[in-house]
Amino acid sequence: MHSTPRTDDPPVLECRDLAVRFAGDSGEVFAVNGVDLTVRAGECFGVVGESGSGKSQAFMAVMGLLAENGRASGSVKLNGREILNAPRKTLNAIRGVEMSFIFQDPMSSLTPFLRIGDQMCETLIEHSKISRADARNRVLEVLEMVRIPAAKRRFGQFPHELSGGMRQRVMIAQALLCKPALLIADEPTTALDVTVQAEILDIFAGLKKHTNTAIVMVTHDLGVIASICDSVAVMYAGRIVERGAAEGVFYDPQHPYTRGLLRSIPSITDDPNADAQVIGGQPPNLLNLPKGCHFRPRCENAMAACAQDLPPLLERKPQHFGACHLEVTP
Amino acid sequence: MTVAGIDNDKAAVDAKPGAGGDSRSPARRAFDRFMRNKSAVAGLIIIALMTVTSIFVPILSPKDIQTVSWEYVLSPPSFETGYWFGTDVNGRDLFVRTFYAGRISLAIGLLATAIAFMIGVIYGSISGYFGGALDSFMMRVCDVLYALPTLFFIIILVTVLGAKNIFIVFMCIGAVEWLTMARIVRGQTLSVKQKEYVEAAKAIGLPTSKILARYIVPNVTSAVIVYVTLLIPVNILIESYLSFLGLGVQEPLTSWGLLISQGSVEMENAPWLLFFPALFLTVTLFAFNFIGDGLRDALDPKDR
Repeated sequence: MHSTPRTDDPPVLECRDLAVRFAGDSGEVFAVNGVDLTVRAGECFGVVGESGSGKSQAFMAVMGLLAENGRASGSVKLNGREILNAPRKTLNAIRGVEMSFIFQDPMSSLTPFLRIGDQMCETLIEHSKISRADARNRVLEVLEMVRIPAAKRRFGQFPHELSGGMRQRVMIAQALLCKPALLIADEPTTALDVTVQAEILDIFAGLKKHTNTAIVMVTHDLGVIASICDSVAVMYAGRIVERGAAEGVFYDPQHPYTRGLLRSIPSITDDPNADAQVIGGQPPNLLNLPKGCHFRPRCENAMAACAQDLPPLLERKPQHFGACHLEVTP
Repeated sequence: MTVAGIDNDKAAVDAKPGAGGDSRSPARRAFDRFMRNKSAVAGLIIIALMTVTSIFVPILSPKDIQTVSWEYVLSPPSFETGYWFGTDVNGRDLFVRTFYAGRISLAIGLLATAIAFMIGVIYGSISGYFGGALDSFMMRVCDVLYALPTLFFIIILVTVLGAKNIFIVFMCIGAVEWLTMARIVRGQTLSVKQKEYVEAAKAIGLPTSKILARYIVPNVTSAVIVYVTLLIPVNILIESYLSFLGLGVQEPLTSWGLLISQGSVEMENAPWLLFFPALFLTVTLFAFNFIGDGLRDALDPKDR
């Protein structure tokens, strides 16, 4: 079996009925709806979905970083403490310390006017009563942890002197400075080229091995999930449609959407002249979701019942949940 | 693997055009670009010369701003008499007076602009960053102030507060001229606050004051710095209007505007009284405009 963390550990992150809605010109849009998930220490939790599936917004809500017109409801507990919609002061004491966020685009995540070292020291000095010299040592230590060569030289450099991969390492290092219990990475490899992607994933794998940090990996890349995640949640139109251990989801998918996603991964053995495998149709308009199961218009297994009720997320295999009206196939 | 990774990254850094070995800060790179712009550097040199001469004019000439000479009243410029720029109706040396006037005019230009800059940046960045109702309110206040004719407003302020103190004139001009600055800064802040590095700063739990001071303001000032250099000549000009109307600098102090005002009275029989102050004012305004243009090109090399 996979090295799944023990389920009796207290969860680091616990979301219950998390919903995010945005007030727009044409009414209210639910970007995230009824999301339940639990992430434990040492676990790497993957969240996968198409653009607009709400995967990023769910975790922006966790961080308290929603856009001004966004409202979050439900419950988010970090180490047992309710943090959803907490006042900014409370959040500022938690962000960067207990939970950190890594953004998608490393090219624009560092302010061009501050040296790398200064930006990083700032986090430490803000959160702990630490001298500049100690902060510097800690920063260098973390920079080396994410395998930045010549860390001392990098410390005094400006962001424009670093390549994308290097900047993403700096972002990861910055997120790790205060040894957070939870690290949320929002598509950390999407903006990078493939060889650099592999190196960044390697750093995450190393983190998993050597620290007890819970990692949430938000991505649309199933390859990323397969390489380092212990468990996966598949999101569609703001809801989790399947959740379980990574192996279970990959080898015995319980939802037609997951099956479609897995089928659409091109393989080196595919006939190069054949059409790519795709899931037909378009992602739904969140303003006007189809009645019943949101995936029904694109689903090859759609039945009469699918047009009536939204299928609940039920345990279909041990610790493996799916939201589909189809009978469980043994 | 690790060794290969290091080599890859080194190659990636070196291969990036303009990145390899370029350890200059963004500000330093802009400065270097600025220094390659000939007209901007010429402008800078002119302003520097003007400033230095204005400061050290007592050393250059033994005559004082108030020294009157009954022998040389309205004497034309001449090297023999020692009055290089001629004298005025009271027999005062115009050369000395022009540079003393330069002190006041340059000081007004710089100080009033500095005041406008500070108010504008603080007001604009707060308005843009917090957005919402506060932003609407702050911008409506701006609109209302905008609606008042600038010069008229300054004249009222100066009259009410009293023009006797030159600092009040500085303040009044600065307090009126920040409006455009605030608008530019607000606009820039609106776009900068969407940047991921601001989001990242929030995600590491920095308080709003620090985000504003360290992440927003440095990134918006490059947009206003050009406007600042262009505002300096505007403020010098405003002071000239005020002095021309008798509301600016008061005797015995003088400014270019005041000299021009007095010179225009004697335009027919002593044209040099108008010519020299006007020449200095014009050259200074041009120089500041060249500097402003140079800065714009240096700070935004794409927009040419």
